[in-house]
Amino acid sequence: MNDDRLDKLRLELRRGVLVLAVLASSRTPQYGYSLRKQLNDNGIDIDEGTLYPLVRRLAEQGLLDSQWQMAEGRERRYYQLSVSGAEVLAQLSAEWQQLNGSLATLLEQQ
Amino acid sequence: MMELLERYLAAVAEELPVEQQQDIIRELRANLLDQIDALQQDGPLTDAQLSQLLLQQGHPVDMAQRFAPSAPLVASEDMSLYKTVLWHGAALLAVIALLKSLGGLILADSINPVRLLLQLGFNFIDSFATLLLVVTAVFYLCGRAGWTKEWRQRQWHPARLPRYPLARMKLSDSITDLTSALFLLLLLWTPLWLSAEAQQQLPVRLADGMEYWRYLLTVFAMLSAGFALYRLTQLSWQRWSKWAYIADHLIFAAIFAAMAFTGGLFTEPELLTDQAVLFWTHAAGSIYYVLLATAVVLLVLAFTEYRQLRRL
Repeated sequence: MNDDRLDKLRLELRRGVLVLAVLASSRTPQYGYSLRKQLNDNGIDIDEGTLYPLVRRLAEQGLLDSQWQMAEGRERRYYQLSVSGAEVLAQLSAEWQQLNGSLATLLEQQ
Repeated sequence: MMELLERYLAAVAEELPVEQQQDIIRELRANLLDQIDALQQDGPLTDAQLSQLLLQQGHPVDMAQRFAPSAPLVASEDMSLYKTVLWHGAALLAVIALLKSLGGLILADSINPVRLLLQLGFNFIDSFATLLLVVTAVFYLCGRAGWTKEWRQRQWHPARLPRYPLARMKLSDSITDLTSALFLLLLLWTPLWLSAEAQQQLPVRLADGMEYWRYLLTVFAMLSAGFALYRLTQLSWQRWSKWAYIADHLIFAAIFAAMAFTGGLFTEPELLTDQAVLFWTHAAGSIYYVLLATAVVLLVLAFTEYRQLRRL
């Protein structure tokens, strides 16, 4: 399989779990760059052009609360998991665990 | 150095909806400044490094699209229907443009093929532009109201899906029939779209006492158009709808055959131009053969439909 096709498939595979990763990382207040760094440090490489719009979309859906704050002499928009976001995160986590278990069984059979 | 950043942000802002510009740019600036800060930990950032960082963000248009994706005028799921409607509408307009140009030709003192082609082309482009605008606006509004989705999922139930491929109503057939009925109505009612001057100088007109054919055909053309519209709301043929379709063909076949055998349907115009004289000398008789041939074609189509009916 050529690299381009593999890259596209990999991107598609990761896209689905990005919401889960962002919600999980937003249990504590995060601003755009810190969120990206946290995801990167945990092995989830995501480019800014994808992450920042995604975070805004989740805030528009009410899953993240946001607030502008001054820090280190500059304003930053901090995001944190909202009440409904926490509920969604719990449901998605359970879904993910189940899916992951099923997938692991399937992959082991190969 | 920061000038590059501001130029990038201004370029993104230009692509955003006005009401979202300020908020998105404020946030994007804060995020990019954080990234710049992180890069400056090893020393001051050069213009080349900043350019590289901005290149990594992507083209300003792409960046703006990610933040505020614009909804398409026509949803991708509606494209098939949209193209079919435009295609059939364009075919109808092409025929009308041709008739209009020929109408102009009748009035002309001499025939200039280049002028005729240009007139035909401009007539078509003019009316197609309007059609494109109207159809796109209708699809946009219907799409926003959710009507196109309702239409796509009309009567959806596994039990209602056609048993055989032949039982499936083809969208293109229904639109073709609708277009044909509308075209017939346009032919019958030329005063509605042809200038009075061109109307007077057409090479043929209905003979006195033959007006009832116009009204009879109008009634059935309207019924045919209505039936085609109804079929657009259906997924599959029922026995009654197939019978109605066959009846539609047979009625038109009977009318056209009766018109062909009646004779004396058309007469010369009051103002006899050279073209009209030419037509009446050489081609007038062919009208009845055309009517008869159309009736035969419709009979064959009706028979084909009847054979399909037996398999429903």
